Amino acid sequence: MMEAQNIIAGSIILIAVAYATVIALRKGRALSPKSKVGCSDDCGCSSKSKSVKAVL
Amino acid sequence: MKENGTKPLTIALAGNPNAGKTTLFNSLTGLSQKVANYPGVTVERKEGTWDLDGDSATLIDLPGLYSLDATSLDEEIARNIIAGKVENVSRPNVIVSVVDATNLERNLYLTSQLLEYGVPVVVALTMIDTFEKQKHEIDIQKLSECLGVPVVAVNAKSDRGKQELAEVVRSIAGTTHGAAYSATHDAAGETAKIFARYKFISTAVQESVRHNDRREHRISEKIDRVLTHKVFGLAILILILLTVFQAIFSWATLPMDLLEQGFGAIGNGVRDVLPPGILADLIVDGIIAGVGGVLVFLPQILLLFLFISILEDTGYLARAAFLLDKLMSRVGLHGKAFLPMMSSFACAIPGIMATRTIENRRDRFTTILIAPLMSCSARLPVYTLMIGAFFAGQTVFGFVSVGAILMLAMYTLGIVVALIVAFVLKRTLLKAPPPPFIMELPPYRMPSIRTVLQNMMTRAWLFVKRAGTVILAISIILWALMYFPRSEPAAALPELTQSEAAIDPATGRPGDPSVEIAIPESEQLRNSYAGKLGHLIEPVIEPLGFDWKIGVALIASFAAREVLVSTLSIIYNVGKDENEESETLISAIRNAKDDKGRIVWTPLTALTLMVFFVLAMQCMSTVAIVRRETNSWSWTLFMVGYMTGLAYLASFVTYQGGRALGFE
Repeated sequence: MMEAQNIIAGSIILIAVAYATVIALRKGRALSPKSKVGCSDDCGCSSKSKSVKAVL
Repeated sequence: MKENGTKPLTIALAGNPNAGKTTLFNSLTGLSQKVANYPGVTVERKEGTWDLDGDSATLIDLPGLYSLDATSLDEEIARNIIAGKVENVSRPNVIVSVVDATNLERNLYLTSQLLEYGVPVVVALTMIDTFEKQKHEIDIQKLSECLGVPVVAVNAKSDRGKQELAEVVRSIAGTTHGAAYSATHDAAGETAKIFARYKFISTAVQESVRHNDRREHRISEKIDRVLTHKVFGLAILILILLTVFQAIFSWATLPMDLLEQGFGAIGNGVRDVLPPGILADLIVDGIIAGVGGVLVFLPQILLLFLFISILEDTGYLARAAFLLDKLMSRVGLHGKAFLPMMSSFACAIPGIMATRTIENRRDRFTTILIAPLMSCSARLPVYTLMIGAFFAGQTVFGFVSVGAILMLAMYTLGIVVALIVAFVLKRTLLKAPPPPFIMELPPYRMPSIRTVLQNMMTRAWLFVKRAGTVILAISIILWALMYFPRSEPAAALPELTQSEAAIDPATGRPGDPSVEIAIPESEQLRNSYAGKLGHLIEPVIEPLGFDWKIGVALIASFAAREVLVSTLSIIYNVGKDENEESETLISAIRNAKDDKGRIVWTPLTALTLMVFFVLAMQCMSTVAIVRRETNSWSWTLFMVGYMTGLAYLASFVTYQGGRALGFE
């Protein structure tokens, strides 16, 4: 029983770490002015927006 | 409808700021978008699908602009889209020029420029109900003849003219533009062209519009005299904000209590169902405590945006802008900086993107660097947690809540510091004279229930989404950092040996050495990864009155501000010993004690933490957008550095100053 609990809890923690890593990487990419990826999905602001340079 | 049988039509929606363009865009596409009532709200290009009698067309919402002279980034973007020079964006087949009927001359200037691009244009006349209420008359057929393009009166709220607009767009799509307007063809030089355009517009308006000559005082002007008065106006602004904050606290109390009880019940339910162990601890102490701790603030977020939307939609916020404009120009800020600063009260990211309307680079950078000082909605849970824990129920003069005053003080502190920083920057690193700025005050309107609810629900959804994604992930990781490593008894209780610890307290004799010794959870937390990190930074934050647990929450909140609440919630749940009763976050904060058994949180500590949150740069998304918009690491790091330094200094002064004055 404890084994199963450990496995489920461990999986949840790993998924959370993976998700946070993806978010951090996306933010890292969004730091570039050439980036076409919206940086603020989690904030909900302009997730589909492009940078000025990309639009121009 | 397809262009040449294959490609869908592309329709561009162009118009002056505040002409009702975004409202019309929402109405035609059905997309949820922010609709505001002050100039310049549309900064980005937005797209939607417009159903033209069963066929769909792509509708592009161009930035709000006064002309296509390309003096600002917005104008340049719009001009390039219309000219078909933007990659991956089809050249529009039709341009819908949104024209505010109550400001015909000014709005038609842009239309006169659109006519020169060889794309079929249709004029959508908005604010027609307000225009008619002012008892003016317009001959739409005549205006159409004068301009040489179709004109349709529309009202997005009542759907008036939407069908006709769709039919006209279908009929002129693909045709060659043959507008009568050619006044500038004969004019030589830019000035002559401007005069020619105004002459053309003036003729069209004189031919088609009959103004009501009866002299009557417009209610709007009378109200403006009071609301924009430098003394009364400011007093009314403070009164309105105090009322809003007071309402947020009092109205949200019941739903917040219910939510808190609900999450508590869910946690207890999970504990009853699952056997004791790591999984139950993770779900209850990590996920439910972390996410639930933030979600209980949803009612306050809803109320905040309800009030902001109402003030925005009625036109009051533009008056507030007018009031502060004089102050802003004194410190050297561009008049256009007000909109980004206002937007930043919701979130700094749209605020920073809105600075694209500011032409001068130095003015734009100054605004970008101060926008994050406005108290965004992510700070609200932190303020209300602190106020709820230490200042709830206290009043001044018997009816003004101390919480509302403190909330107003925090918002004001952000504005005042932003103005001081702007003053310094505009006289040192970003020296430039502020250009003149003409501000348009939109007419007062009854707020649209649909728009207000849309704004409110959009913000609420974003808050819930954020809690269910980023904050959930951070909560789980933080819980793991606070849970691991599980301490060995000898490590946790160094002063006791295994055999000593195993002494049976009842008999005073050594007990069974094989019996597992329970390590107090508070001890486990102290020895966890997060605990060690907290202790590492404790010497730095001790002068601010913060202990290592607050330190852990502070570090975590640099990912996102609300994480402070979820982290404190997890810390006080994880660190709770088994014999301790379950309690709310507020009571846990009030009763928290440090390693020496002293009370950690006092009203002064809470105030210090609030001051820190007003000024500190704790948002990864904002850092990313500043880097993108400034295209400079130097300016980005400068912003992070000055804000964090300022936050530390102000918190230090608040705490040590408070103690010197005798506060605990």
